[in-house]
Amino acid sequence: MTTTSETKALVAGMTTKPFKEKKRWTVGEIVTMAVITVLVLIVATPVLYALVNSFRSYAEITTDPMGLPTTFNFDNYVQLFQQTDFGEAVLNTLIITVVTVVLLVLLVPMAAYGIERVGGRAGRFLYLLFIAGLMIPFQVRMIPLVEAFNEVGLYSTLTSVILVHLGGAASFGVLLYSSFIRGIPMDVEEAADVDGAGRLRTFWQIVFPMLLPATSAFVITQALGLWNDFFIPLVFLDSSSAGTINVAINRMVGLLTSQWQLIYTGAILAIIPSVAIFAGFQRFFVKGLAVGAVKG
Amino acid sequence: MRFAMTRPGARRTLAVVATAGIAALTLAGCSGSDDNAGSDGDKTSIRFLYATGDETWNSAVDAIVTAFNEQSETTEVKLDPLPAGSDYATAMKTMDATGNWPAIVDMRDTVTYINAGKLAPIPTEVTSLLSDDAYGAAEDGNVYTVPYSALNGELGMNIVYNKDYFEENGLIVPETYDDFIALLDAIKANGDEPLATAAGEVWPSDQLWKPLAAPYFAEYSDEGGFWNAVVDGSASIEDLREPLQELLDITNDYVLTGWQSTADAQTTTLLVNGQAIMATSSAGLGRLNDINKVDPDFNAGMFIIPAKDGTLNVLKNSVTGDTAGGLAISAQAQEDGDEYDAAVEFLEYFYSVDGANILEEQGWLAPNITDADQVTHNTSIPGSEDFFGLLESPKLTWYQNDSSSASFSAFNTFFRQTRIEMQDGQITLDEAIEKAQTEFDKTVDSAS
Amino acid sequence: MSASLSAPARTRRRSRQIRIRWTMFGFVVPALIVYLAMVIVPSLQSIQLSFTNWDGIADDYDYVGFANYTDMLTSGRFWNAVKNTLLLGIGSAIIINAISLGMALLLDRLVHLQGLFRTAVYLPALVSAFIVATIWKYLLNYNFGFVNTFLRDVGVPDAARDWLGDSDIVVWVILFIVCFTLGGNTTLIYLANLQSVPQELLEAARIDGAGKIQVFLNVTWPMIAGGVTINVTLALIAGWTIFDQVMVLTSGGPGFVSETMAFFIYKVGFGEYRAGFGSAAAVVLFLVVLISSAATNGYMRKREIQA
Repeated sequence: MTTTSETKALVAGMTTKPFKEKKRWTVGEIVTMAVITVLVLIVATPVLYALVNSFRSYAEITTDPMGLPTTFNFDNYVQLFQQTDFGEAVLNTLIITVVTVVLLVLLVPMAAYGIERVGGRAGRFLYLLFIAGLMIPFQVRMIPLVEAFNEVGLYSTLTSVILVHLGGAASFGVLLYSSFIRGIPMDVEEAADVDGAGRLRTFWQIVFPMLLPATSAFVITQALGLWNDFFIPLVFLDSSSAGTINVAINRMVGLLTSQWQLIYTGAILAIIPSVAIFAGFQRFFVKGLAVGAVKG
Repeated sequence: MRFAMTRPGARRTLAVVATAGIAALTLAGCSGSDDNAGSDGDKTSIRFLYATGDETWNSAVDAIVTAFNEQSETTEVKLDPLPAGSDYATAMKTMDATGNWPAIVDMRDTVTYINAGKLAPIPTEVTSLLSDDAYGAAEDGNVYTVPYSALNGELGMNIVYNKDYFEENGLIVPETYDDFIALLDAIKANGDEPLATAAGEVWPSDQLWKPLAAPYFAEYSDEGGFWNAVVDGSASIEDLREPLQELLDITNDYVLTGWQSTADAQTTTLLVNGQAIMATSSAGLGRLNDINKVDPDFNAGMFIIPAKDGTLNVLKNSVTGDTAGGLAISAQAQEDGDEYDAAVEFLEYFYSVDGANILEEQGWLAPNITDADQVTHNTSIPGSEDFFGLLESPKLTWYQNDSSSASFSAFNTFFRQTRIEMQDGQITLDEAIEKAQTEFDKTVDSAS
Repeated sequence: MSASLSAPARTRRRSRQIRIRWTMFGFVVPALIVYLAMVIVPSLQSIQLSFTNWDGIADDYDYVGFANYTDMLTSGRFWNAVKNTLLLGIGSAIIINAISLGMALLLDRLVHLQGLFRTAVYLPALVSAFIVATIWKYLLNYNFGFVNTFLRDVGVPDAARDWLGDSDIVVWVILFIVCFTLGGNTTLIYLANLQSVPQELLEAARIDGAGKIQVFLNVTWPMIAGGVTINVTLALIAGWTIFDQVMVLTSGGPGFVSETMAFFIYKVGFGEYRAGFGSAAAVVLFLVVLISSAATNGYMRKREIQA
């Protein structure tokens, strides 16, 4: 089994190959790198194609779909910004993502902790109740939710999207955190033995920090999922809202079905924020995921 | 432990996070209602919801709303384009599930919404601007929709063609249905693609179907329309066997490959690039306008597929009933006095001579207002003389075919998809008829 | 523990423990409220709605018993949607996991620059399924798309097909696009799992003369089997609800041929004003998910134990 030092290294996101960093380059490794590169390029082809064509005009694309741009003009980008509420859509997506993630981190670890510590039959029941949500496809709750938000007057607000996502992510969150919490011995809490509000403090100051690997994995997977989600904003945000990035692009596609150059430009515009954020937080992304994965 | 935090540190972090959460939630609540109607300074701000997909209509709406806003001191109209990608019904339903009705709506499935009390009656100040047969009252005596075009019906369901090609090859506009088939054969014999049509979105599949079915529908026009006859039992889908067969044959023999995934707007490009000599369209003048924008040198013409005896049977939408599309004022707007007044003001402008001229400039056929003689028709677009010619053709016969059932639109979508299945060869003609009949009996018959 | 205490002390301790348990329950309450309101209650309402003929707009509706269910189960359109859902769901779960595992194995072989390549492999996952499908829709356009133009240019014009309009292949094309990925999160998870396999075991196997494949089958695979089960189960659940790609690429067409259950629910329940019917379909979808997840999980856990 793994030694404690290797476990610590794992938790820190490093590999368990503990030998010399100055290993020789083998042919096998070079070949592997080449293969990976080729695969990445193949999968990236649609995006690259869209990028190239976002600089061409309608006429150019229809007469010669395979050609390269003759000039690098940003006309398409300018036109798109003028024709759509893209800026506001980005803001909406950002708000939805950040608020949901914050609320999730506030509510879910605490809930998982509570479930584990309540114990007994009640605890088991609560656990199963939350896990059951994993198997309930969104479509099952979609229609009543639309009606419910409508009655409360919250339809087509970002709040509705946030709440819907909260419900959906709670199940996965409980699953993830529960397994981590089971690994935390209770004596740590017994030592800080107080009741009531003291328990709350105990949780946030002692237990929560120990859950950080789970939290980083959770935050990253949820944030990306929220950012890229299409269906839920499509259903809950109608034309009175600028929508999210995907929804805005969808509307645009409908408006301009034959204006290829603008469609491609729209796709690139949609990707830019993701790439920018990823570039900035890249280290946390990949490390955080690896960490959460082992325990999960 | 690597991640241990000090007590004050953790507390601070928690406080920051909690504050951020609350602040963000507040923001979220605000920004969602940004675009709702309200008072914008002194002006009342209302939304105008309309279906996109027809680029001429898009620019017409844009032009008239801009002009209106400039001249109005009390009202500002905000454009609210509906995504054309999805079914109009889906989009409207999603919007309605809200209570976020815009003040002015470009309506479909009107009967359903009238029955649900979602529309406000249109006042006489507006209806008096229109010529009498341009609008009609619903069962309760109120007028709920007013037309946005003189195109009241499927006059815009045309075949658009390449006039230069016709000239070079000695081809003429067909006068009978058999002429039409001969025309298709002639083009095919030249080695060119006769016809492009679209079924990538489901609704354009009507463009080839309706003109073929029209002569058959027309027979029931005086008895309340074909679909109501089916409900009665005096007609059935089996009676549509011949036009369905024609549809199937034309699709198999003359239509450009790839129609199953072609989007309506793309047929313009196909036509202009010479990849097809003719194309179906349901946008009337609007399609000519689109073609002109893409290629100003293209010499386009248009005609309607004639019946075997040469008549041009065109569906006239009843000005009431479920097929009555048009502009409507939402009941929700009526509850807010200011919004209602603003909506009425806009509609009055829409039906003024100025408004009509603006629409015409964009290549859109303005509605039949009482002062129609003062409106200048835009004949600058190649092919538009053909279109105005159609309006005055002696062979033109209007027919009616409104279904009185509120669930007809669900059947209609199903029927369209079934026809596509048949055209695509997935099912046979017999199966299509059977399938459509069963669905009809289930949805329309049981509901009405 | 309590045996060594006096009776009053034991009572105090027990009542404190009860208090603590209530406090712990309090911790769960906020999330529980949201969860009940957003997931459990609407799901139950859906079941109720499935027995009505509500159209989604009117204020009232009638109960129609099992009519919605019988309508659905006797409609070819429904079974076609089920077929597509199964195909896309199972197909994508298996294929994507295979790809992810493969990519993870490749990455695992790297000693240098692993971080860089990990990032590169993760990049495609940043693009949403919706955007990917939108781009592909235009790439696959019969007349103007990149794919067909390329095929015609390189001299195989017969290979140029109506990818999204040919009813024989359209569902496979959708499957292809769903699986056209390097795995993203799943790959990184597998990578971490692989890296948790102790070196000593691998070394021992190699010393014993086992070839690469045998090492993988006998040492690596059993160690990651647990992770594989979870990933495949989660991928399956996601697969049943594939919507974005179907909506963008074909809207269920041509005809009805590429509809999936998730799409069917949206289109009919929302778009055709048949909320009761749509709810019934949603309930059926839920049952499909339930049964298949239980079955897969059971099957894979058995294999885990054997491994």
